[in-house]
Amino acid sequence: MSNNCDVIVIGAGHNGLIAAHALAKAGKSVLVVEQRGEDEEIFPGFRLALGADDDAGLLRQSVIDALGLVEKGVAFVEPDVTAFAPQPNGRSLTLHRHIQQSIASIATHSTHDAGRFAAWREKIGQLTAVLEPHLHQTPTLEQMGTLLLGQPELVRYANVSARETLDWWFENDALKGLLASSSVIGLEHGPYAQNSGFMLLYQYANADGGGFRASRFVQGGMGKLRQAMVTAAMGQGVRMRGETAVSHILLHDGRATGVVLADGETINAELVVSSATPRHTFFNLVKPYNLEPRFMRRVRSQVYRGTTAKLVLAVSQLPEFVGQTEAGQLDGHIVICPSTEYLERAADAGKYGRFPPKPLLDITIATHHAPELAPAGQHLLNITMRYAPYTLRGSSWGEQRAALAETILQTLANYAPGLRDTILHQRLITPLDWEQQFGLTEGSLHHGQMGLEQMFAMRPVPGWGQYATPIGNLYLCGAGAHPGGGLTGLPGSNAARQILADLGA
Amino acid sequence: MPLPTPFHTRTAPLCESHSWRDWSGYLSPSMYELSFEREYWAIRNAAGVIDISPLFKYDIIGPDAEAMLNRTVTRDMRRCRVGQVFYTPWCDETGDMRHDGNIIRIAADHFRVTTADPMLRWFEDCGYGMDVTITDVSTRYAALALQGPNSRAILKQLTANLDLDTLRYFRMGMGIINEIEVMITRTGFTGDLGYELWVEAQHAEALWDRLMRVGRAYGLLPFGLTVLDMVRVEAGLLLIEVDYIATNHAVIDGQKSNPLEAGLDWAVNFDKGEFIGRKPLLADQERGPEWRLVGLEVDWAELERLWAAVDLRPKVVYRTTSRESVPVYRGGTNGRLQIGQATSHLFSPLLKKYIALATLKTPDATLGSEVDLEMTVEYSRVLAKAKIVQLPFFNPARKRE
Amino acid sequence: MNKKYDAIIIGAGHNGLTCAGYLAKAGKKVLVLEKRYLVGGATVSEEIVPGFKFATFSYLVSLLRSEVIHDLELVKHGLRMLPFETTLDLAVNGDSLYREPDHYRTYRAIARYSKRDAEAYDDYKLMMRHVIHAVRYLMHHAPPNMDFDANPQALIDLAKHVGTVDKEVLYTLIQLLTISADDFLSQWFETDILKAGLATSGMIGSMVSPKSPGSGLVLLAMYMGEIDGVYRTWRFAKGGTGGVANALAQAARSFGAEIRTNAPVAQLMRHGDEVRGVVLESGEEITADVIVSSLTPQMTYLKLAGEEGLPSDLVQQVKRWNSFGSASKINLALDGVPDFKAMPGYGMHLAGGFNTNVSIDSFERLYDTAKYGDFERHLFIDGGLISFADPDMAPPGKHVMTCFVMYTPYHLRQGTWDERREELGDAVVDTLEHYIPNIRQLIVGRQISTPLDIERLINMSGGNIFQGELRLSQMFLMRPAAGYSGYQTPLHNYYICGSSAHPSGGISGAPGRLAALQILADGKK
Repeated sequence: MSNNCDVIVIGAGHNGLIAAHALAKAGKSVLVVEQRGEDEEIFPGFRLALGADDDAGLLRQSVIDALGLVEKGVAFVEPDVTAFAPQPNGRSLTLHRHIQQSIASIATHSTHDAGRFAAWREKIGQLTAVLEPHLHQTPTLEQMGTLLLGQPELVRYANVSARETLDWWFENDALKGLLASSSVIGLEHGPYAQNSGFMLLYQYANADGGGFRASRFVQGGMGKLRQAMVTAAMGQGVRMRGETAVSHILLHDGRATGVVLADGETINAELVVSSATPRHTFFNLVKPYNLEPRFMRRVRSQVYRGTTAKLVLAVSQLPEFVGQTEAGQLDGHIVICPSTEYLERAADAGKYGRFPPKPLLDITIATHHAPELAPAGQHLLNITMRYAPYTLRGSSWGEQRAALAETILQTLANYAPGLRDTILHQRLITPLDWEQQFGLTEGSLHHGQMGLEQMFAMRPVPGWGQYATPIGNLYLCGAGAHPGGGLTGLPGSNAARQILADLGA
Repeated sequence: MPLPTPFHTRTAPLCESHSWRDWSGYLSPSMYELSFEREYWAIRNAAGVIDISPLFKYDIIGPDAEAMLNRTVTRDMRRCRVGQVFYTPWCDETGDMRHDGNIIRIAADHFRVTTADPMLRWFEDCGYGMDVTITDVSTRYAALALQGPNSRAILKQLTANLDLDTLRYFRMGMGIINEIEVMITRTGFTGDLGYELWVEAQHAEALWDRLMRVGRAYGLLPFGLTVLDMVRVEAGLLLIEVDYIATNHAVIDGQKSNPLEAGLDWAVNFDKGEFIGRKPLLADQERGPEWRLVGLEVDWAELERLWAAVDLRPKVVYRTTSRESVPVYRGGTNGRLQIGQATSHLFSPLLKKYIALATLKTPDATLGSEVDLEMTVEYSRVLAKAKIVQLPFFNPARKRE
Repeated sequence: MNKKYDAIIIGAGHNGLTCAGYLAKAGKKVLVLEKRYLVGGATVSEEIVPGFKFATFSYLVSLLRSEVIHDLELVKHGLRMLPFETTLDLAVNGDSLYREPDHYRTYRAIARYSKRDAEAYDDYKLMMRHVIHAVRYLMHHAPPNMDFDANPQALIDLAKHVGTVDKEVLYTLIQLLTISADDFLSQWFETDILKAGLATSGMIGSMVSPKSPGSGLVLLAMYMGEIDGVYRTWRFAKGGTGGVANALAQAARSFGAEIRTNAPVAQLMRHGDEVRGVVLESGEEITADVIVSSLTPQMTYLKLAGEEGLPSDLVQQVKRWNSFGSASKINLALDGVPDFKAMPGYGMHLAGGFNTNVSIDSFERLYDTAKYGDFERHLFIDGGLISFADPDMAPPGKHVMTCFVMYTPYHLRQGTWDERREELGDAVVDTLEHYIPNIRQLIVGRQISTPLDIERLINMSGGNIFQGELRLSQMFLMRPAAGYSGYQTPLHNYYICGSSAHPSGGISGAPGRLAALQILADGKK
């Protein structure tokens, strides 16, 4: 039996699956190879589909529809509370899916800000509406020119720092801190950095009107979403091979002709589509010496520098946070970020190869929407921590992981005093772990930093934003391609559309 | 201020003219005497020696050394055997020449590249991800070029362990001179019989002293860059930044040349597989290069004619190579059309002709055809009838014998 | 009774004077009104310590457009550009890097740290040359009207120009609009002192660090200079930068312009949307057909014109205009020749520039402190001895040192600049002493200008030396406000011509020239 096929997709992440599904639907025979296995047991008795995303808020409706995810059993949960921000002074701020409730909570901190919140939300909504269609396109220089010259308001909000836009609108530190926490996702910088405004827009792009960024959970856990995507792809005839590592991409006369697996098996294909990071794809699978130096240098210069760590806690009971008045406040994101300055100072440490003593924490309770993941009454907490730099100065992650876990837990102790005593198990994923266990170059969850200089036609590298690569018949479809990381599904669907267009031409 | 080379203590007292040039940041004699004549004729008639230490030198070592070079340069390095030397250009992704140089294969996995410009980053980046180490050994080795008909005889007196009669053109051997290990390559930039001697810098002075002592009986003279620039034109050898501009120095595309345009088609191997610049070069080959490097000759009768018009005898001798490019035309004085430029030109005392290296539009670059070379005769620009001739202008049998 | 002018220029900075020169040359009757006792604005030389002339604020020339020099005959009017060819980067740990015109000496200086970088330096300079060449077009053209029907030709020309730019160059240029200087430079270099030394161009006058996104754009802006057709050349002006202003003023006068100093303008004479003249602080009213402001947007619109009747989107943008400075200027009068620890004795380096505390980490720390409203004690100083290029700046054998100091924020968290001015001066001297051990005993006088002083003295709102931070959303079509770029304002007969207009700051004269061309073109309609 021949393993050969029309298209090999490397990586069964959501973008790989979405691309595979679309290509198979167009009549291609598609094989998806994935290095990792399916085991979701994280602690004895606890299951969790570990991954970069705990929230499916950014996943676009067009993708949900194309794959028929709802029909395949995916149920999205949209809790009333989107974000809960306990404060050092024991108070708290809560954002809701319904903006009036958010405004009421803001009013307890600042009537000025409460009065402006709806207008701010509308402004952000207007700008994300302008941005949105550009995220669905194959980016070009012309597109960038049009945006740059034709959309000054979008450029202004994208170019300034999140701190600056938030200062235009608001006065309250708690509110600005909470909102700013969305502006630094995928960036090593803090909210004082230029262009952090762009990330704020990017994170709000798929959001409904409540006031926090796009946020939505999957009933039964993120594993359910992935399974539905696999089901959808296989329904179109996509073949899946798990626990199958690709050794390298086969080249002939500068074109990709297939892959060689780690066990030596060769699979030929007309197209190879990689959802792995661009650096991994080009340097490990293609090899730098098969690239022109000019392109090789661009890939080498692509910035990753992941700064996200994750701590998963299994706890014997739900934690209680300061300023918490009802259990429902923990249904969304619990964000420890009391001010933009707090967040900026957290980012400062990363520049010098350290993690900060007072980190940004963004916590979701996985078992809220998937109680079946844990034994009855027990819970799983996903704690996303910033900023943990991939490269530590004068130390290593082997030496520092215990200290990082301790820093996170100590920070948490200020906001959820009893939590520590309830911990049954814990697992820390450092940026190095993201790289070694998940293949994410330098632990960058977004397959390359999400700075404006690496977006649109500049992603993954200047001049190669159209999913094609200098290697003929090799395409990119992962978060390293436009429009980037976050569970949007757009790189995968954009790439598939572009591939089919190129084939048709 | 430029630095002294390892031979400076020896060359400085001999440099009577005190005429120095800056060669890659090193002090290099332009001429030792006030007239170039003795140096020039020593090369063609006896032997001359020039300090070429300012060249950049790189050791390329490792299991992938051959593969790294093979993807970097235009020639097929698999065919370069141990002990062999290849002259080759190397190109950018655009197929335009980034630089050129000699590559000595010292061992199966060890090459040494000598070139006129820094190339460490380029080579390292070409070999990024390969099992190869590139080391800049520019200051570790001093080098002399011993050139001219007597060079072999002199060298034979110096080293007994190496059979120089069997050391062929563009081959390398290890010699022992005064108990100093000297790498000897039968190479040079003069187009004559000649050798280049590579020693560790601390032995430079000893090598020089021994060479000059033995060479005296054979008419050996040190020579400088002025004369080198004359004889290399006679030998039809290109000089970077004069006859072509390296891609990393060219400011506009029009300043760049590819090897096909520079008359180096013989050094481009399209059959060896991928190399940097192959695709655009192949396309250019198929399309036919726009430019060709040619040799131009203006004979004595023409020079007589031009100067006779102002009642003078030809004033061309005692001039050294001019690097001021001059236009080349076709069509005579009426309706003339510029077809290119001569980039290096001089009156060859040996050949007794005015010769030039010129880059012409391909349709006008046919061997044997006549073109007009701009010359200045007593303040006036005139057109001299020049013939396109085979390069090199001077090609003595002893060079290869 | 006041005679009526064709044009009144508010502010005799280099752009105001340039604009005046062009208008006067075209036959207009021009009056320039300057608040201070001398012309120049941020381009002045003053004798603060007897016998010593300080370039009070700006101190180097590079961006001055050739066409301004030649159109206004500035050489005839005394402009002299003196060599400024070397840079000495000094790190706190004793490392140093000396870059100079001798190609191979610079190669070897860099190669001490990295041979790769020494080689990459040429590649980098060539790429930047291409980028500058591509951007140069913008220095000569007003931002186009994005309404295609209103002015199709400008947009067509711009598109055509972009079409001629090599793709690699174009992408590098786009990268520069948003990237950090450190990430940009890391594409070529690995050596900290070299990267940091080059990154200083990305920090000048701006509240960004090498690792801040946006510092690439500042670097590009600072690279846009050319002198006599050679890109990226820097020069001292004879007589300090005041020498440039004096030449511009002389030129304007020679064409018939009138310049009045000590004549601060209080407000415009507005008649609805029409501007008819100005009212001086003295109460004097002067009318003119055209009023041109060379001041910041805040001064131009909020103070002089007044918010009333201005479009609300313009007012909002002006209020959000970021012009907070982070640079201070300290001038030192010296009794003798400073001696650098890294390069002892006399040498060409004394006639060039030096940078202190050069390292990416140091700059980041300085920035971190500054962004929270304080300044470090060991500072980044971009310094030079103007008197080595121009001995007339100081008494014989004595010298003046200019110290441009970054990361001294406009907003201090503790205390005020009035309280902490001398503390800053002391920090500068302490910093210098680390690199120039004999500096303290040489100092016979000093002048300190904090961002607050810059704002107060020459009306640079927020103290930013470019009249507004150089960043993507404050450039080109958005300088000083989207929909209000170019040189016209929503008020009839009211124009802008300062650094807050395209193509922005530095002693270029470009906004002044382009504004004058616009005014003249409008007058022809």
